[in-house]
Amino acid sequence: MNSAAFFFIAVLTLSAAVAAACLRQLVHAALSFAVALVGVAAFYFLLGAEFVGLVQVFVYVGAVAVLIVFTILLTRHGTDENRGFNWSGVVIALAVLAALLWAIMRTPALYVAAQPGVTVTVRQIGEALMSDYVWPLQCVGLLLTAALIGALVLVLEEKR
Amino acid sequence: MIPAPFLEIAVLTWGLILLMVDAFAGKTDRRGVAIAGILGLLVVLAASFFLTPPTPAAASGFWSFYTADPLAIFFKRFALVTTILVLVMAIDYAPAIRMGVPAANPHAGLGEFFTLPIFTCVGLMWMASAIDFVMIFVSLELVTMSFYVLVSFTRRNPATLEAGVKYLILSALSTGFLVYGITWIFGVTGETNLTQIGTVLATQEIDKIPLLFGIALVLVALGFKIAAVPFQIWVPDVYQGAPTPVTAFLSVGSKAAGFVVLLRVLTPFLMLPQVGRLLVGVAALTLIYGNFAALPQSNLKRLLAYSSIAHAGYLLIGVVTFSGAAVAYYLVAYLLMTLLCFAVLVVVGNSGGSDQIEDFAGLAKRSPFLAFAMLIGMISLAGVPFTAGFLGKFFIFDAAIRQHQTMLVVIGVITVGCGFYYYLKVVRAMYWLTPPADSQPVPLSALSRLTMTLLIAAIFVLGVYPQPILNALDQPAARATISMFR
Amino acid sequence: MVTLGDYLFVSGLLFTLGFAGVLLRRNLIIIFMSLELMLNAANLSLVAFSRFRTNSLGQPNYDGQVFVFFIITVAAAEVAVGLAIIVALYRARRTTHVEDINSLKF
Repeated sequence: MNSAAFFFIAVLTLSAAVAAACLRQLVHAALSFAVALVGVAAFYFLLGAEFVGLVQVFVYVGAVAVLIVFTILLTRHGTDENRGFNWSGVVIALAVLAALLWAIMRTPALYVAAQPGVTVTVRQIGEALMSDYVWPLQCVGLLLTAALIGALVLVLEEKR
Repeated sequence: MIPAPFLEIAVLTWGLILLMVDAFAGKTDRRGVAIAGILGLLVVLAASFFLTPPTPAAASGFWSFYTADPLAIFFKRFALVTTILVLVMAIDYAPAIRMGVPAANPHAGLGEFFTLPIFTCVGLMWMASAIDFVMIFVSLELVTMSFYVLVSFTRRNPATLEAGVKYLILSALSTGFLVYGITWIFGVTGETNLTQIGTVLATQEIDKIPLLFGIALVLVALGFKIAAVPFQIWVPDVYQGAPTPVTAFLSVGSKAAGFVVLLRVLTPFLMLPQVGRLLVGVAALTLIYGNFAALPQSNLKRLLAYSSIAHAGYLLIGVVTFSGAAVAYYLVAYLLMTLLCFAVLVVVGNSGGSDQIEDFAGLAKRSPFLAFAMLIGMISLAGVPFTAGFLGKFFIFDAAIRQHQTMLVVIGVITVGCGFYYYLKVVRAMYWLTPPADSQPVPLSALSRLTMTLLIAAIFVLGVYPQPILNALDQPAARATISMFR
Repeated sequence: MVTLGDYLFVSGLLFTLGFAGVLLRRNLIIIFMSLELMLNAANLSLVAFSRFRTNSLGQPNYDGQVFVFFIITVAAAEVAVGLAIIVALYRARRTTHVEDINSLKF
């Protein structure tokens, strides 16, 4: 059951990601991107990380994907015509993939099955965020402030 | 006596207050915001000399993310000084911001341009103290996020926007590598805290291959931040296109923070010999590329961009030889001379000139003080004796000879020769070429004149009396950090 | 049975797809989506590592999940600022193509 679900989600996510990276039509690519994000969220639920899964759906599918669609509408640029092909890019990407697969294959310790574990509750994550992780949390708060101001400064257009 | 974390909180609060003041200031002159920012940062800088000594035992909870060791305190002061100098430049740069931001209010955007560096400063100070990958990631991103905005700030200018887009894409890419690398290190060791990672590596049998893969990805990301070859491709364009004070901030603040993180991150991983060999190669390539690519440049901002790559190479020699004091001294010297050059560049660029070297022709006749300031900056960057730049290179080469890194010393000495050629090219333009007939003296504000005088004095004082900087790190806790490198 | 290696394999493919998208595509919006895919790949392996690396009590190592939380927040802020820059570029130059960004020499 678990293996079947894993296989199904993996195929869905990866094919959506391939579509997002390859489709010419921007809107189609953005929709496939959203599907890939939903697929990753499904992985999180499968791994028992319900809170992270929900955050993924809210933030990525709810906000990021919508923001990207908005940008596509704002910039209204029909298709992405490929001019020429970047072979060096292909080589670099394949080299990274090879290094990655090598790192995974050569490490037998990774081939462990999951223990029937308890899931991490929202309470545990909340307590960690508000006790040990309070410093990074403050930092992220300032980061969001800076991003908010910055995004406004960059697009605000007043009539002269 | 003040606990160390209060420094960041004070800077952060002051930045937010200034932002609120700016929001309700209407049509009044915004330069007051920058002056208030400079004064606030000076107070915090003074306060950093009255810190409560850190309690060594507490390494859990909050203190497992944050350290107040001498290295951290030193670079907090470094970040504060850099930000103060950048704000001084930003005041001079205000007319260009007014031209660059499309808005009805002539003061629009200025308040943000003065407060965002203060937020960046908080990020740099947190980075100096970060000893956990989560904290490193979050503070690094705070700095990067502010720079995204600052680099593309004058968006009327197409070159600036393009620089902003290039910086955005390549920085975001390096973030992706950083996160993936941290993921693998976490996966192998089960920890994100650098001290605990060190303990795990020393005590347990760890799979080396995924660990090396992780640390390589993290090094790629840090290579982007410190502008090491082959991750320097963004530097020339972004430095040339960004507003000049932001370029100065990028080349000093961002780079120094990158080196602090590099020193901290490398500490637990130095038992892996592959990491050391990789760094030697990167240092050699960076030295060669930065110095030789600077030779044909005719734009001063672009020249300084390549020079910044070259200096990253000298700093990497210091990292390879694990001499924290040499790296710290070099960074201070680099701060003084680079910011001096950029300060002159801002003032001259404002008075109608561009950043081309030929626009500096005959500057000595028009504005002798500015030409003298630039001369000192250039000879210090080149490494003429009795300047801070010379001693910086001396300490670095000395450390390299002690560690028998002969190849790096040879490359270093040859590239210093290249440096003399391209830095003195600027001096020649200022002193030997005749100015255009219609040229006027360049106006200089009292604040900038004072700042430049202080920078020139500091270059010479530290050039003959380096002890204050070397001693700043030479306290018991610092000795522990540095001895870990040895 | 699904092992940790399987999750890492999927995450690695996702990372490479994103990286290839950044290197090969020419539209800034698509490049930006590919960058987000790379971050998602990292998040996926973090959650997988935290699920499979249990502590002595059999509980997952939730430090990984807290880190994912931070990464998602930062990524959202990055998207906001990044898309703002792309929109500003479009207004100034009427383009979202990498090739058209060439007033500075590469």
